[in-house]
Amino acid sequence: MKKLLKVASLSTLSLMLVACSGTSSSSTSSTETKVGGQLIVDSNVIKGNFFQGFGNTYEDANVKMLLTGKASTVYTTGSGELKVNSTFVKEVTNELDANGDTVYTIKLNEGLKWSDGEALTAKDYVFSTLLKLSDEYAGVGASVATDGSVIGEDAYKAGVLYENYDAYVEATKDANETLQSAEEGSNEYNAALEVVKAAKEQLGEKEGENGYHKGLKLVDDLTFTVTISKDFIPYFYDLLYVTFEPAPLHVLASGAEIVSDDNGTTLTGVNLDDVAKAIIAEDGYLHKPTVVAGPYTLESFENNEVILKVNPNYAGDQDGNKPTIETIIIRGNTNSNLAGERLINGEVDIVAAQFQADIVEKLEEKGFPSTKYDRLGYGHMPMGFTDGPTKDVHVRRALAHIIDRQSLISSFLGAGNGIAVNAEVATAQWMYIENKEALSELNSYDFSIDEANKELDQSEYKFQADGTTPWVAGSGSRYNANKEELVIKHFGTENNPVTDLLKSNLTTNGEKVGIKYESTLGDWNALIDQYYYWSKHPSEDRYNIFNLATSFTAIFDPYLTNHSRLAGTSENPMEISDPVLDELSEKMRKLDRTQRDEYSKLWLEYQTRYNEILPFLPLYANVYRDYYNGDKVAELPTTSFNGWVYVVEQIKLK
Amino acid sequence: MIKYIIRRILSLIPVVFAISILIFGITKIMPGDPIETKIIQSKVTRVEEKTRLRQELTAAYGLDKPLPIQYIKWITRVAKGDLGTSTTYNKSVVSAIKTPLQNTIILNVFVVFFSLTISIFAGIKSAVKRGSLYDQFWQVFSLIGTSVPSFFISLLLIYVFALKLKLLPTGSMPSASLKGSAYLIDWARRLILPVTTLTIMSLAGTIRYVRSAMLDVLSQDFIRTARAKGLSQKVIVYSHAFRNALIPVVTIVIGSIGSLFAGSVITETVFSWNGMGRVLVEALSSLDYDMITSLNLFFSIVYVMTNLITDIAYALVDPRVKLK
Amino acid sequence: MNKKNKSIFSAFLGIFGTKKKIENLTVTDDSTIITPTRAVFNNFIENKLAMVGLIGFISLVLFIVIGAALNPVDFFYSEPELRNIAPGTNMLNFPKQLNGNLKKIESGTSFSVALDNDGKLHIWGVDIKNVKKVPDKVKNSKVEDFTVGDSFIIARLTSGEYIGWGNNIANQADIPSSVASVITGNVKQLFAGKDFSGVVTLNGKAYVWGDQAQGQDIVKKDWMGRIVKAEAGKFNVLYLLDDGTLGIAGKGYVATTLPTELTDGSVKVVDIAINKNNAIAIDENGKVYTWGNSGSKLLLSENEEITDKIVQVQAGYNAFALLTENGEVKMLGKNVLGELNVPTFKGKVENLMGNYFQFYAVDEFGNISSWGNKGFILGSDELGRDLLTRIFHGGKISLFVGIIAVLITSIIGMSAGLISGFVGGWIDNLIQRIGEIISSIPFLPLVMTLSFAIGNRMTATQKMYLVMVLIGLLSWVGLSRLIRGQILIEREKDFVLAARALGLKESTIILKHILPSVLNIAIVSITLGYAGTMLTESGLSFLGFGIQSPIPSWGNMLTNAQEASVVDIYWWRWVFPTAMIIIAVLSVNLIGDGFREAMDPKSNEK
Repeated sequence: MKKLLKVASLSTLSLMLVACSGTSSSSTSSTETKVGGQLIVDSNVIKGNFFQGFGNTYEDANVKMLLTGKASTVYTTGSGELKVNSTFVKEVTNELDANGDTVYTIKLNEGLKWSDGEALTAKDYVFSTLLKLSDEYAGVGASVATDGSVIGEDAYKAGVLYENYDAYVEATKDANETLQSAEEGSNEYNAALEVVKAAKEQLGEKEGENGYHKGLKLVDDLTFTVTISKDFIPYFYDLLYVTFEPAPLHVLASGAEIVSDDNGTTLTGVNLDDVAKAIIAEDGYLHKPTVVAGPYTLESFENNEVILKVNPNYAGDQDGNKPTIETIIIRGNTNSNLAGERLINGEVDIVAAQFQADIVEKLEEKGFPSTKYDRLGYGHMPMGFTDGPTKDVHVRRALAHIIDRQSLISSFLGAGNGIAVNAEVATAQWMYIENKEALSELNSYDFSIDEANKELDQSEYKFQADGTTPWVAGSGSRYNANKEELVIKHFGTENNPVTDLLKSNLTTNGEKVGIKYESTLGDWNALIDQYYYWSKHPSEDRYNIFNLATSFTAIFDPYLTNHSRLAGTSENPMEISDPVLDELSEKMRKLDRTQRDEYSKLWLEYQTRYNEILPFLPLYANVYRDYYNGDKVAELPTTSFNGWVYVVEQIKLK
Repeated sequence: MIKYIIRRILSLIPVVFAISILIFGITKIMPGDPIETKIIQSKVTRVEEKTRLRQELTAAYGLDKPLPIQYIKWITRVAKGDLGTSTTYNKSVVSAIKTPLQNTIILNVFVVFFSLTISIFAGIKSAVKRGSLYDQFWQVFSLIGTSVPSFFISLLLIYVFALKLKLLPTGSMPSASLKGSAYLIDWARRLILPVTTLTIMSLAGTIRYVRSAMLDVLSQDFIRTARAKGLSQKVIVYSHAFRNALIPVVTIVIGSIGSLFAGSVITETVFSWNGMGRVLVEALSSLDYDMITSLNLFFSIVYVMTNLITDIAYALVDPRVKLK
Repeated sequence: MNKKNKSIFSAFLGIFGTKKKIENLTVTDDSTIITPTRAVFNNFIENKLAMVGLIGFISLVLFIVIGAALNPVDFFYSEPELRNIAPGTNMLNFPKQLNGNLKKIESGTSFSVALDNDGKLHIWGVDIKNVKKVPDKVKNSKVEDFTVGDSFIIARLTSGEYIGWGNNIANQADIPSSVASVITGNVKQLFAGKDFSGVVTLNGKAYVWGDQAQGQDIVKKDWMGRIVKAEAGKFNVLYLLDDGTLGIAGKGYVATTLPTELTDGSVKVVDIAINKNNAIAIDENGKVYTWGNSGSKLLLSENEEITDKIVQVQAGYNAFALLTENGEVKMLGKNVLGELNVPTFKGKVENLMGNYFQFYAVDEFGNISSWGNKGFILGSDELGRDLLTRIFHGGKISLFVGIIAVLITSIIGMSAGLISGFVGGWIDNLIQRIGEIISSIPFLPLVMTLSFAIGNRMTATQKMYLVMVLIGLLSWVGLSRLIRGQILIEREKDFVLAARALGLKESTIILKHILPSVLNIAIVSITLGYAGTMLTESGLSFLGFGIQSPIPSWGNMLTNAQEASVVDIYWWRWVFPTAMIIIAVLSVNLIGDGFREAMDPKSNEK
């Protein structure tokens, strides 16, 4: 069940930003500190996809972070702000080019090295992007999301020359439409595929030749540039455009050269098809990454256990800290219920992100030290925004009033292990901390049957069965004018205590306010089918409310999720479409990186509107505790934004 | 007899063929769609990106063909040993299940060994000493063994030996960080509890049959004549009776292997044992099509083999079930 | 008679078949002629173990069916405060010596504490968080005053020292140094709520510490120096001020809907009480005021009119107790755990005490009587539900679920066996091959994949029946093979040949002679198969493919009891469901074995 919650949060992880903590406390200088000792960390099952484009599980992402993730050009601070990683990047400058687009120049520091001693240069950063976005890499099953902000990115991904791209889009316009709607394997579907393939042959790069990326340019060994189209600037999180991670060119495509000319940048001397196939082969870089630039190299991955050795050539995190632990072992387990026991039994030294009342109480009793922080995310109850009874804001607010969130938290999480939030916020976000006072004034939707009835009396469901006499407590279900009963259909995942508690709340309290409540349990895949493809189901089959958990990253950009332009896609499945929210989310992202106060003000307006129309009801935000073996680990400075992998350089052993 | 065995083996071909159709059909009616799941997890939002990804994945999974052709393509690939690629491990299914298969085989080899030896000796002894305390102990043991869910036994063993007595780890695989003898000792310590659980489950089933097989043999005429000739009890029991009882005993234990493999799904989950059962549970929850079909096929072949051996043994031993 | 019992007894009657004929046989010599089934019945009766099994199973089924009938349950009910309470029904059994010698009683969720006039503390009820392990310092010194939170106790000794024990997760059981320095020798009242505690000083000030997530620790400046009494709810503190007005700390609807006439001085309140979402107050002339959440019958408007003058109120979680001026007790609220079963008192009631789910009344002669939650015979589960009731209803499902599978198995198995046994030829071969295909399908992986494939196209109960039909469809092969083998042997037997020689029709031979022995085999496999389906159901629930919570089955009750903390601390949550499965399966196995022993020709030897 806990596994389900963790997997549930995975699917809504937006762009997994590379981040390592730079907490304000002055950290030790990078003098040669003694490196030694072994740290064993408990984890869920590790699938073994250790390179970009594959494996989106939380556990695989952790390993990727330790291998090369920390060599990224941008990192996230402890309170979720983006900063340039000065250990790897000397400086980032930007200026406008001829046709008004912005060119960012990234200049690297000197003396950076790979774990095998080879120089880490701008070539490796450019190569990793050329590889990641290439259609050859997608051909072997990789999938990388982009927002089309970089000039020539879409053309390169489609394997089409930049100047032919508009023609290509035109030619495949209606084919794309049919591919979206038609049934897989049907003839129009296959016909549309043929059209796309033909257009690609005709306008695309010649067979066997690697594509040209117009917006990416290698200047010299330490400098490269990226050009962002003017429609995407200004952008409050524009540091995202300069976030790059290196890949070892001399290992994955030895002998290849990166050539930049007016066509754009390409890889010569090697065929990307062979490179991609070699990477996913059984002993390929995806499964056995040999040369890395991060704090740890992979020694072995066998039987669900990852063993990592310290990388002497690592340049250090953004404050120059270097890891002091020689070996890290991550042990994957299926039985997460026994995590506490594994720590007590001494089989592991760290058990991260515990929040269940029973386990927390036992470990507290046994006196295990822990680092406590608020979760970056929450459990919530999405409600249909454009269809079904919940399209009426009063019905949504009434549902909020009949769920006793306080006792749900105190029984599911235990006292002091969680709090109720009333908008799309996480207590660790810097915007929350700055607007804490104002946020406390928001409607807290206390558990109240009378308030729920007041809301429903303003909704269309204010009658009894005959559609005319006003509803009165005890007169059964509520109906609207044309005698339709107020029925709320809930879909929840199995073996999930939150689902059980929601069901008991909505059944017992639903009757008191005239709501007929029906619930169906399903497994994780059924949830994906019913929730992410909500708009694809016929109206009478759709469920009105769901319950799942969401995690945030440092990027709060509702333009990419709750905006009406995305209504019906898996980013905004419940079709949230509110003009005020849309306008605010557009204004927020159009700010410059320096306009931090305007962003915070708009953010508060967004949350106030959100709290008012309640597209979905946040249920609980957990308090996570990272427990560790006090006799072995002296310090575990994890925070909401930065789990143990982000602060691995600052973990001290006794 | 040989004619019967050959005919029996030939009859397997339609059986395996029918099973493969059944398994292929089941995975096709699974809810959700692997491509959609992959698209969601990749956070791809823009329409043209989604169509490109859909196009790549449809081709990769060969979903663009009608079902019968997909089946033929799949069965020919499987016949050639290519079980397809796992969408969660992003490598060929064969390489993904190599270690889990080893772990399940290691686990079940010990279980079969222990349940075979114990059920033979305990079975014979309790047959010989019918009605004694020893006999009743094993009868009660086998009754309780078949009445208790396996996850309860595993939880109890973890509670007693790992949590309370702190003698053994709570589960999960041995660590590759240990070298040489320490690594082997770690293997042994991790195997004790899962093997004990599965042995209790398998023993509970087999010991009863061994005892009744021994009782049948002991009551037959040639034993009476042997006793009449004044042979010692030990000779009678361990040479005559034992040799005749051996065949039914072996067939019964081998026959139970099929259910053992499937039964280990629960035990592997409780002990975090990286075996075939656990991998199937994972594959089901992440809609890893090729993995699910290959694992179900593996379990079926194990079942078919054990049924075959049991049938042949029955024919050899038990004239009553003369399969014409 | 529940369906299960009928099928067993009808099977018995079937065996007797020739019951009527036996009477007219005169038993003259020692070799009376009895039909093979009669012999089986005699052997079965003599077999002690088999009878134990039979009686055991029947009494288990009756225990479950009657228990479920007597204890109707709402599957969606849950009471988080009563999570994981150990078995025990002594929550109301106060020590008798307290009669006439009682100073005060306060209750936690599953226990109560009393202080007698000689300064000795008494604790009874079910222990949680080691509240019953009274520290030695408190044991061997006189106690002046005490307060009880949900799962912790704070006591003040005559020496003025404060000692707290029990649940201390939010440091609610220790007085913070900042408060200790201010209140020495100056404390009028100690109070405690859910994970927080507080004091009211003689000079009308209040201090609160512990869990402050709901702002229950905020004491407004203009209340300071005027507080007469404090009552702690789950997330709030209700203060009675010196001018008879009220103040409430903490958030929630009960705070926002505090009636204005109770705060603007127009009413002079004399007593107050508050629980999770509701509160109650009475004024100087005994008028009652209630406010907070509707729907739990805790508002005056939701109960009949109260005419008497009320002098005291005592809060419980699901009910309020009101003491009238002539010593009677009236209750508001719902009878969730026996809160409304007010006993008859010997004399006029003078004082009401208790909290959460236990109420106590002291009459004019000092006799104490108690009502409310006695406790849980087999303890409570992770959502505070009575385990015994869930075992009854879970048992009904687990026992019933097995029947479907076994019926399907025996019907298909017997017919397939009979047909292939008698008809032979290519039909026999075909059935054999189909049998082989089905028996080589790996059961557990297939059921998991199928129940996965069905997903949510069915409701939970439909899915349960389908899983059982599946089990039935997949496990008939063994039975059909056994029956086929038996028929092949029987056909060659001498008496059949003789019967055929006598010219009896083939069909009568089949029905009279061969069918009884086949029936016996079927019964053995039914009983053993039945035990198997029970285990399969629990295995499937464990993997999450079986019966969906909150509907209980013995299998899924064990699933959510598989955390290690449950194994060692909350042992009752897995011991009792497992005991039930063992008893059911063991008794069915004994019956099955009894039948097999009884039918074995060797057992008829003299």
